[in-house]
Formats: sequence, C-alpha cells, structure tokens
Amino acid sequence: MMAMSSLGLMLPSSIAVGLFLGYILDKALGTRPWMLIVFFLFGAASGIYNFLRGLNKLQEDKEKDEIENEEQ
Amino acid sequence: MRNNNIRSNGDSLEEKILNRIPWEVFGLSFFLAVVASFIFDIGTGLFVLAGGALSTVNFIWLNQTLSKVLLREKRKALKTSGIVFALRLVLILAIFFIIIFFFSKKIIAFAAGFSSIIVVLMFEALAVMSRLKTWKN
Repeated sequence: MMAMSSLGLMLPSSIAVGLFLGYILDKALGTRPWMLIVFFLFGAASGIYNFLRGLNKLQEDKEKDEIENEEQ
Repeated sequence: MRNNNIRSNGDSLEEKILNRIPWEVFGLSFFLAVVASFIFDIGTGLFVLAGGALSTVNFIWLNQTLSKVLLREKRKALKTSGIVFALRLVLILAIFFIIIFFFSKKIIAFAAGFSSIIVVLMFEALAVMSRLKTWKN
C-alpha cells in the first residue's frame, strides 16, 4: 500500500510541478508553448526516473525479505 | 494462526482500498469537472474529466505492474513488467504532448484532473493512519 501510494504519486506530482512551472514561465516570458514543453519533459523524466528507482528498491527489499525468511 | 488472521485482514483491507482508489479518483475528477464547467466553460470541465480518467487508467496499470512485480520471483520478470509500464507511460506522455500542442490553454485543466490522484492518495493515507491510531488506543 505504501509502495503503491509513493509510486503512484511520483509521476503525477512531477508532471504537475513541471507543467505549472512551464505555464508560469511561458506567461511571464511570452514563449508559449516552449517552456511548457521543456518543463513538462523535465517533470516527466524526473517522475519516470524516480518511479524506476522505487520499483528497483521494492524488488530489492522483496529479495532481502525472501533471503531472511529462508535463513529463518 | 492469530498472526495470519491479522495479516489476511490487513491484506484484504489493502486490497479494498487499492480497488476503490481508481473510482475515487474518477469521482473526484468528475466533481472537479462539474465545478470547472460552472466556473469556466464546459470545455475546461471536459479536460479536467479527461485528466482524471487518464489518472485512473494510470493507477490501474500501476497496480497491475506492481502486482506482477511482487508475485513473480525472477529479476527478468521485473524488467518485462517495467518495460510494459514504460510503454504505457510513453502513451500518457504522448497524450500530454498532443494537448500541449493543440490545446495549450487547457493543459492546466488537464493537469488538475490528472493530479486528483494526489488528493485521493493523501486522503486514503490519512484514513489508514487514523485507523491505525484507533487500533493502538
């Protein structure tokens, strides 16, 4: 549940922050839609990177648990 | 035995919560869409609803991927489900790109709908924490 929540939050929150920043910068600088695209890509990349890291950690934790269970 | 009962109760509760989250996300985005339609225009409301629907689908895909990762034992299986999920993410990113290019004014409405999952997950986390506190007491 914890893993699902944290993994589920990573992508939407990163994308939302990136889009928000891009939207504000576009409005301020008058560069629509380039800042939106650039910051969206930053947000998506960071979201996917964190998601894959979280998935990897989850798998490692699972393997550790299995090894501990086998030892017991 | 008692320990197993507690664990299975916890698991079924978790399953219940995980099953209802997509419905809650869609319900919240529908509510936000109705509010946005009144405050702004129907188009904005539709984009909020579309964002919520995409968020719902994304969570269902995530649930499926994680279930596979937790059930399967081999590391190769993790890579396979990771790749499938990555392809689904590419589809989501493509949808975002289409909206940025063709409806850039509505992207914040779409992002608001897509982010409705954040509110739902926070609410569910608070509910679970308050329940744990009740058990402790």
